[in-house]
Amino acid sequence: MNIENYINQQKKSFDDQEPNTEYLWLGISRRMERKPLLRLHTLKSIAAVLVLFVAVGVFVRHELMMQKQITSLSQINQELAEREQQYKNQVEEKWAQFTSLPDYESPMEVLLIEELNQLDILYQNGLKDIYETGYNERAVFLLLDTYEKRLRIIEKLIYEKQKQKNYENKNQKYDL
Amino acid sequence: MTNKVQSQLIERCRKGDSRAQYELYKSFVSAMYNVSFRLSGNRFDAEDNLQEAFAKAFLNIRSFKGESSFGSWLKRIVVNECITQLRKRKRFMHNFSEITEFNEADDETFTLDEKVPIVEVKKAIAALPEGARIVFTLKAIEEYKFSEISEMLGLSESNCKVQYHRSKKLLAAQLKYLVYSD
Repeated sequence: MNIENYINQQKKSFDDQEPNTEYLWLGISRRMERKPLLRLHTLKSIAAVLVLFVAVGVFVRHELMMQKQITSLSQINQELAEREQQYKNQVEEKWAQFTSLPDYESPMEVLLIEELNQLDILYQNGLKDIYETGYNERAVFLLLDTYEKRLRIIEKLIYEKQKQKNYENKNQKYDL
Repeated sequence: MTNKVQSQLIERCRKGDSRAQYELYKSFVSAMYNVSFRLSGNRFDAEDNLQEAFAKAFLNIRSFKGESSFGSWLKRIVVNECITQLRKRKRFMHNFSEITEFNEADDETFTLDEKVPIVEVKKAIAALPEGARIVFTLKAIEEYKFSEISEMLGLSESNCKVQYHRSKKLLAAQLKYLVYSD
């Protein structure tokens, strides 16, 4: 007969080992008690990895926001948004005051307007700096400083116009 | 143990009833120990693998859906545990890669007289190289299909067939004197 048939006939003889039932059960019980601890450990590891992923995600998102989407200071945080808005309002108010005055040709005015344009460039460069290197206090300070300077320049423009206006009025009086 | 009693025990095991686990263990321990012993090759590894397999089975008993008998499901866990441990010890992997082609002419007809003592046959099986012994045990004694053995060992079906026929050839060589003595 072939080996397979031989083994089939003698099948029972292959199961001749006697296990130590109680000893084996003791080991199984111990292993089963140990497994949940391992599971807890595994769960803790998974939780730690998840926390790490979330933290990295938040950091990357923050960096991306800082570096790729900044078009004004208001996008960095609420406090800066409020300060920038305040400055913008003041600049608009002053500019409206300046434009409400009658036009007078003045070389000083041309220079001051040119300075305002330079401040616009400085502001854009500041934003570019934040875009490239991320949020930093110095860049923010420089950006806010451009608003201060704008205000001073517009005040000077107003003063120059008023001075010109007064001068024109005086001349008109003398002409009469 | 009737099927109904077994199903009730399994249900209680799913709820974590340790008495039911012990009852179920007692009804399968002998058969499973012998499977573990045949694959592990010694008492110490057989005990260790069996304990690990039972612990895994009880902890994962919810994954037993009743598609096969509980005995088959449990036996598969025992077999997998033994193979995992053997693989960790890298005791038989090199034996598998040696032969990749099976020549039909090598499959000489190997017959055994029923009077040949089983003790001698068992000794000859135990003396087989590890890889051949595992495949022979899984196929001839545990009666798994080549497709199942291939899946368990992570080898191609043809490689398993080669190993099986090789093991038969080696057994024939070892038992020759007993075969011809009749």
